[in-house]
Amino acid sequence: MQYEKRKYIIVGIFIFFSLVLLGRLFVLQVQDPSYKDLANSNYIRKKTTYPARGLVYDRNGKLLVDNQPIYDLMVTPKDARQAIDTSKFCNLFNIDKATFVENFTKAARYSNYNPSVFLKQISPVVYAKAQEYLYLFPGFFTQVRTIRSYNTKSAPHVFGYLGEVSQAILDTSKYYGLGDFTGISGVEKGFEKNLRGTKGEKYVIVDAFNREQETYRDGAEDVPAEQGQNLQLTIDIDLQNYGEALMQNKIGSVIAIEPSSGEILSMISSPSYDPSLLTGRSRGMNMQMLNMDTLKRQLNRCITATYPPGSTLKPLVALIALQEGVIHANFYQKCGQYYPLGSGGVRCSHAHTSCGTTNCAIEQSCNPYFCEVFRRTIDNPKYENSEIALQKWIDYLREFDLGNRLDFGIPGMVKGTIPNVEYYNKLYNTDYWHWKSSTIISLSIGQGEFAITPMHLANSTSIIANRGVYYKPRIVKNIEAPEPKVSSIERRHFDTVAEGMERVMTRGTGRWSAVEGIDMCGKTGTAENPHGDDHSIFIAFAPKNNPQIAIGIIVENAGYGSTYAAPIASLMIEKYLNDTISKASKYREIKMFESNLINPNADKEETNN
Amino acid sequence: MSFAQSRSEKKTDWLLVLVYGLLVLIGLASIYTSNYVPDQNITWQTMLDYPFGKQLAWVGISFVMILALQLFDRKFYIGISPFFYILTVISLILVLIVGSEISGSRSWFQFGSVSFQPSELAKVGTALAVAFFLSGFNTTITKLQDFLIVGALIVVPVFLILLQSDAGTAIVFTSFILVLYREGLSPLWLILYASVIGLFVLTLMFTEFDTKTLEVLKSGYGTLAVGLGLLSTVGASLYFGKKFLGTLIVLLTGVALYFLPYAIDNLDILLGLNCAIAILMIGLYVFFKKPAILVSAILSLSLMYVQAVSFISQNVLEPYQLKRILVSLNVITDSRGASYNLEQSKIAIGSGGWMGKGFLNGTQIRGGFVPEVDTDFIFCNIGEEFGFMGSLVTIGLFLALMIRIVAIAERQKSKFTRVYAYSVASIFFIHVFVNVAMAIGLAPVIGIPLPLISRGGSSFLGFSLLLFILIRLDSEKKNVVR
Repeated sequence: MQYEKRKYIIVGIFIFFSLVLLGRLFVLQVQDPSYKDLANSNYIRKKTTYPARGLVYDRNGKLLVDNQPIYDLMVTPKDARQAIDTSKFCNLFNIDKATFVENFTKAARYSNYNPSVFLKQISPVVYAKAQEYLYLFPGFFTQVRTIRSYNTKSAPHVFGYLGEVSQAILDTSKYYGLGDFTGISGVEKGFEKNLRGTKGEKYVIVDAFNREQETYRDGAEDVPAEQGQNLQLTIDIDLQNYGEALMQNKIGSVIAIEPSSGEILSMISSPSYDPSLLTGRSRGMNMQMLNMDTLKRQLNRCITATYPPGSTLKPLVALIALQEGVIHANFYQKCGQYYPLGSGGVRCSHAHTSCGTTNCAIEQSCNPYFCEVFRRTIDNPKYENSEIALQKWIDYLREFDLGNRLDFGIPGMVKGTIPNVEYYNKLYNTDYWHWKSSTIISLSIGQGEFAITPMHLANSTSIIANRGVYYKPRIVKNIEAPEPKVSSIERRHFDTVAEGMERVMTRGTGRWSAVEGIDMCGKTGTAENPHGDDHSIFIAFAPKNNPQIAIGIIVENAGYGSTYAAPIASLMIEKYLNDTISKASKYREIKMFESNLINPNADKEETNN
Repeated sequence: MSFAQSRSEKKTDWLLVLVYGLLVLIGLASIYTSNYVPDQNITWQTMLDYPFGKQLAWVGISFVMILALQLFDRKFYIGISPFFYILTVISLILVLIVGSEISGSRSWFQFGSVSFQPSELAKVGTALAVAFFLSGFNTTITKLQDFLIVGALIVVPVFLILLQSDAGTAIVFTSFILVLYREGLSPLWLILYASVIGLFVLTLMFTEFDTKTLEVLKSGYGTLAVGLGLLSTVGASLYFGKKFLGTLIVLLTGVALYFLPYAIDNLDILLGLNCAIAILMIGLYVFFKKPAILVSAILSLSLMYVQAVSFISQNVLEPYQLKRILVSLNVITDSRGASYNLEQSKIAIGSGGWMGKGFLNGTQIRGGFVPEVDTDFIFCNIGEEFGFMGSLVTIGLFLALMIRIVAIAERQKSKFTRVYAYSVASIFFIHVFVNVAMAIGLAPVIGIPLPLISRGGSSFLGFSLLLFILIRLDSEKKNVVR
């Protein structure tokens, strides 16, 4: 073989490179003593420095969420195994011997060589004392962290809370380490990446006993931690506080939006809790307490609870019909308190003169009127069949983002349910029969296959208020706002509906909540609730022209929309626009403050005493 | 040659099996020590939750596979080679689509808690395919067509692995150059390979980099032009002796190339001119056939490459890759992660001394100072706990393994087995060299495992497969004509 000799060259290459490695290893391991010294007396240790979390302000620049330093006592078990004066130690930190043994065993189980938390959040006083005596206890040292502190007792659902990262996050993210904190809900979660900042690195030289000797290369390699970005919320904290006070002892939600920007002015889920409960030393205990609370205070009802919209859907039903041209603003429908379609027909809620205009129908919330309007929309001759017409109707609802998950900054919103053509086909259609407008007539008055969140309710109201110019809702001000979308429904129809909603406040179901001097538009609703009393619903915006606030509110088991939902919304609007409550409204304010729908007997007991 | 005969003369190379066994034991010990936690209760039930237990399971799986491998004969392995190759290529494509990303490279299939790297199988597949093709009738590497086909067989998996951004494994495939060299590839290719790496290193060493942004402050072109120019001139005058003209041509080319960057500071024009000179010189060489002109051509091509290296360092390499390379070359020292990891690795190995600190007594490994201590930096365990003696034994065993494989290769009558054996030796060689060199700062940090020792199922399985296919092929050597 002509190339056989080449095996020598190849083996030569193998030997040469092995010798290169061995030569270098000999120098490193045998000749050069410096590495031994480094290993024996000095380690370069990389320490993580934690950034301060971004602060949270309200829309007017009031500081809401702050950071507060706390001190953890850490231990490196390997270095703490020498005889120490345990009783002195326990005295210093106010713990008993059993706790000491338990915590120490736990730390040693985690790692003998790496430090872990021995005592969480020791008080500043103990910290100061500890600094003095800690030299007596090798292996123990203190570490500063920051936790959240709140300058308000409200809006816990907006802020959310922090918690230790889960194993799932540890597995997928490179950023977090064991025991790090991350946002679990609210904007703390939604804006985690902005708020958390960037961790830094610090290199120190430690001796064999893990004592820090000096900074490595005078800190030339250190990377300072970068503080998280501060957030300015769109929330008006005064309005939030006021709304929460009005909603006390009631179950429900209120959302207020600035229509001209989509900024969420307040987001109230009641019953609520003090955000300070979930920070600091008693966090664990409070968390347990909240988890066991049957009122589910931690639940953000604004985005997770769903209800049928009831009569508050009627403005949308009218809008769609007007745009589709099946009615005009002066359409007449006889009321007669009864509409003879659907199973058993649909009754009108109260006796009134039959309406000859859409305005009037909204004002009177006339059920037969809207049944007819809906029937005309679905049986629209423009479309081949009712399926296409209903799909078109649903597409309009989608334009208002009903049935969609809104990405406004707080995660965890549910989509809700809106009607679905397929669903009806499956449910009703047989070989001989197809569903008709009359089959689904209850949709016209917001009942049936409808389950939307208060967020959906407020958002669609905000779009009506802004006459179809849709700014996506958002909760944080200092991020880029998206461009508005424009509804395919013409502006003049919005004006017609706004007119009707204004008449609700002047002559209709909302007239008891009208405020003098404020040109308010509203619509009451009552959602049938199979489990108990009806839910009280109300949507409103003001002023009618150039609206500054739109509101959606649901009060559970509170009966008609006009009894609780409307007065609370009206008070909030008045507060926001005028900054004070007029004398005429005071009696409503007092009634709302005092009423207790969760535990009505509490009131009676008080009066009895 | 009857079937019965081939059965009776089956003879396993037990020496190779012994070396394999010893390396596996060293590997298991290293993985055990790097994950050792005192007072830990590991039972048979919970074993698979720990890295050591997992690795032990993989070793068990590999043993079953090894036994299974012995059931098939040589003809089978030759027969499946092309299909196995195609299969590995398909799996490399699949992993790009459905693979999961682990530490930056999309090169893993995830089955529940088990992950598998198809690029490990690609090494086996390519080795088999190259052996299959080169052992074909009348095939020889010196024919251009055959050379191109072999080149394509190797380049296809390399390309796919590069797409997974797994540069380390891609580099492993360059070791096939040794196989091809043995089969008749011109030694010029080896020289070219060495020059490409050498000039790359030289260029970076003579370039000044900004330590923070890694931007080029001062190009190494000038220094290298002088150096290469002088070297070629001296070489040329020694070689051509009295032929004054030849020396002059080389010298003039060198001087011209040196002054070019001073006259023109636009990199594009410079590259263009450089290219023009190189083409001119090659043209002149083709016309006149004077060796001196060839030297000039090579000189100008080299300097073009130097220019290209600057460009590559800024535009092709990822910043972290460039940083790792520069750290291992000592061009920059105060970069953070890269030099910290390397420093810790060197402290661990360097503190081992002659005999090491003893099993389970390594303070550096224990203290968690060394990153990736049971995978890429596993040599730290051996260095720290068993000292220079441990290093000597480990590298000695690897060297013995490689030399033994070459010996086995050379006693084959079958060209297929020989080519395959050289592939196995070369793959082991580049893995061992790059991995250990990286741990002691002789090579940049390239994430490839130390064969049979690093933790990782697919890598262990891959190397066992590689080796025991060879042992099975070798056991039939006496019956083979082809």
